[in-house]
Amino acid sequence: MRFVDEFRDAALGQALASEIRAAVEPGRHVKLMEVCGGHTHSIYKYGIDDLLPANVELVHGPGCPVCVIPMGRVDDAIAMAHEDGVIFTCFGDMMRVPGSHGTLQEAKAAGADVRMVYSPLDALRIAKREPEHEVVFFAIGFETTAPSTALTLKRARAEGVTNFSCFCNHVTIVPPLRALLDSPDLRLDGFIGPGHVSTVVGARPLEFIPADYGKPVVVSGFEPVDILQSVLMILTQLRDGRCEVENQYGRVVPYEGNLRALEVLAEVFALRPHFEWRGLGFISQSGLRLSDDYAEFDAELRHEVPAVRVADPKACQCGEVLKGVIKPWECKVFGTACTPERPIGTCMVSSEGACAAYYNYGRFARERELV
Amino acid sequence: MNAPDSCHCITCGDDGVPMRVLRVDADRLLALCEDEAGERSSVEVALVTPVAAGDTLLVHAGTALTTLSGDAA
Amino acid sequence: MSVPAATDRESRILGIIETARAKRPKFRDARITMAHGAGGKATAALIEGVLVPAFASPELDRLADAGSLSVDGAQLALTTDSFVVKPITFPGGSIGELAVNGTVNDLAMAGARPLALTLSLILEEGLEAGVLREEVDAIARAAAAAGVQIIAGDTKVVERGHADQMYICTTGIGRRDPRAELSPDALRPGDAILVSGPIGEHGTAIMLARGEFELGAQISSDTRSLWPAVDRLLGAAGPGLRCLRDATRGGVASVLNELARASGVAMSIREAAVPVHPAVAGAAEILGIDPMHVANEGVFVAAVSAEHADAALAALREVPGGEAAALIGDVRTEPPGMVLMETAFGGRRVLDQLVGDPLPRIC
Repeated sequence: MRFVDEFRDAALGQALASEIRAAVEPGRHVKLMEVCGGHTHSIYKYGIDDLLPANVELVHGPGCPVCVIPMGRVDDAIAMAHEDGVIFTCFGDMMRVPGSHGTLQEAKAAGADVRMVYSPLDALRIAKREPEHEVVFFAIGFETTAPSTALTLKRARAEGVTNFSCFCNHVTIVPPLRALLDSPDLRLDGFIGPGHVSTVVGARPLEFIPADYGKPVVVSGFEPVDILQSVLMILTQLRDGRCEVENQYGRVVPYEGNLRALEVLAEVFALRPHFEWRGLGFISQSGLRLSDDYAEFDAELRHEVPAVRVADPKACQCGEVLKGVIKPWECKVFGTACTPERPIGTCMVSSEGACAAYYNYGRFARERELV
Repeated sequence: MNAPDSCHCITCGDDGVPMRVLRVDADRLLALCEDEAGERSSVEVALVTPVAAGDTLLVHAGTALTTLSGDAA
Repeated sequence: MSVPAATDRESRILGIIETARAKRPKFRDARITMAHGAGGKATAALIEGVLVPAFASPELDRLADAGSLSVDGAQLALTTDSFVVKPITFPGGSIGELAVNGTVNDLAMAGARPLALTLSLILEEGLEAGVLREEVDAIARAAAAAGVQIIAGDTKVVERGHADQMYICTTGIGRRDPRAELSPDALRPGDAILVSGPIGEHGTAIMLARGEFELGAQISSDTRSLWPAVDRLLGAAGPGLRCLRDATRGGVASVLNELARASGVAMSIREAAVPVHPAVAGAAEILGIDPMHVANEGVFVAAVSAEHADAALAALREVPGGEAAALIGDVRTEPPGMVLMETAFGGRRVLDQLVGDPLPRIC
């Protein structure tokens, strides 16, 4: 019996659902945003929406680092992959993200040496095994994943590996949250905070949300009971008139984060002045590049890339979905021109994107109680 | 760990896999770890060292981000 | 107070999506990718968008597991299959066993008693004779166990680097059993959905065989001939059987979706009722896959009229290895073509077919 089973217990779920119904202010409509793809996935996989009253609405935010990579950057990746002698490595979901002329998966079918890896260490191993090839690693992810890239680059330097470079597209979690909260068309009552980013940065960086914007935040685990508990904690804060950061996932997340991870990030990376987020536009200080000290591992300096900024297709309304302003089905192209098989925009590309999750798991009419 | 060509995205899913330490290479800051399915892999432990055999780590993209305590393991 | 949460716009969009999905899928890709071999939506697009229209036979249009042929009053069923599983041996079986059982099962799913197979071997230059002999023995044993004769064959050799040791292609011929009329479009609201055994074993076994895993509980492929179970089922519930389908590539989820679409009905499945061994559930979760999407080689789905459901379930459970057969859900009217699942946690979600290819070269 694995420990996680108690966090999936249906009876406990029902009990929490009752408490949630009792904690909502009657007649008030509460909108809570979660920004972590893992939370989106859990909510749909377990059908958690069904257990909430109709006036507690869960909105899925931009927690998908794959989805927010602009098309121009995918084009750059494909250009590198097609270079002679390059082995291009990336995580699985990146293979299906469309650039202007297709995906990395299609580039592979056309003959580019594209290989899927589970960690940057795997990519480094390939570089050591194949010294006559140039190995490029497509680095994506928030602060959860960036330390892994950083440690791999340190290892590459320590072991004298020279045929290895990194195409850095890491992003940070706080700037997009601030951009969302600054957005005039956004109405949210609280946040379900990201689960594993916070093991690195801690819960403390989220304190600006209650302090500057007056919204409660609860850092949540990924099991269905975790998510329901977190919803209850937010509703309780609202009812009691409190506004603070709480850590529901204390069994894993240290409030102060991991100091060594933050040091390693500061050593290997530097903040770009701004970075383009597909669907959200340019956000200041939200993207990482390799620091000057690690420039020799920067794929953008070692390889020729088009570096052309490609605008999102006009029909794409991902930005509004990412901000939680519209629901997936309210997008004009949802389900017709934009489907999981042929995604136009970011929200449909990753299986944890709001549109893909709704399409694959949530697209049926449901009746829910109004409290 | 993920299946090859799986639709599931470890970065979007913000995955963290609990893994048990089998052997530690303290000089190279790597540990041989095993997940609940028995799959073994080499994990970076620079961010959580010192670790010992029997410890449970939360691993994302091949790197241990934190140590899990007894009741979470 | 209860309110339908779906606004008019949401309902309209959902309707548009279902209409689009009910249409014959179009094949628009520039090249073949691994997704086209996965047994999910891309495979369906290839088959229904390119192959079936090109070969234009009313028989192919039925998209059944086996083709029908009537020869002087004898109702025959014909099927063909190919096997490219990697690695060629794995816990619980090998490519040869899969080849025999897979072909026999296509016939069984059509309600036809398997009679004979043909066997084509494509061998890679450099294949060790010992490995070949072992496979040949495995094929002979599986054929004897399944009660079929191998009556024709062919052998080819290709250069090193092709055929991954060996590929096998087969044709199967059987005689339709008169006890049932099976068709994917025969499901009706109220019908029961049964599954013949625990799911997810074959795909998980292959998955683990490819990695460097050491598991406490060993997971083996469930490859076996399904004819004995089908034979018993035909006897116990023949008139009430609508359709049988083995849950190979794409898993149980794919089969349920295919049947729901073909019959224009909905299905409601209870996750808690679906039999899965804990070891398989655990491994699948670690690997990031849903057992409902994992290939099986010894499990089938049966759609049965409500009146015959108990008899059908009892018959399945009498077969050795069928003790865990279960009633997992029922057929409904709305929303047509969709499979909904009530999760073990209590909420509901759509159970769809795969888009991509989580487990390539699975059979």
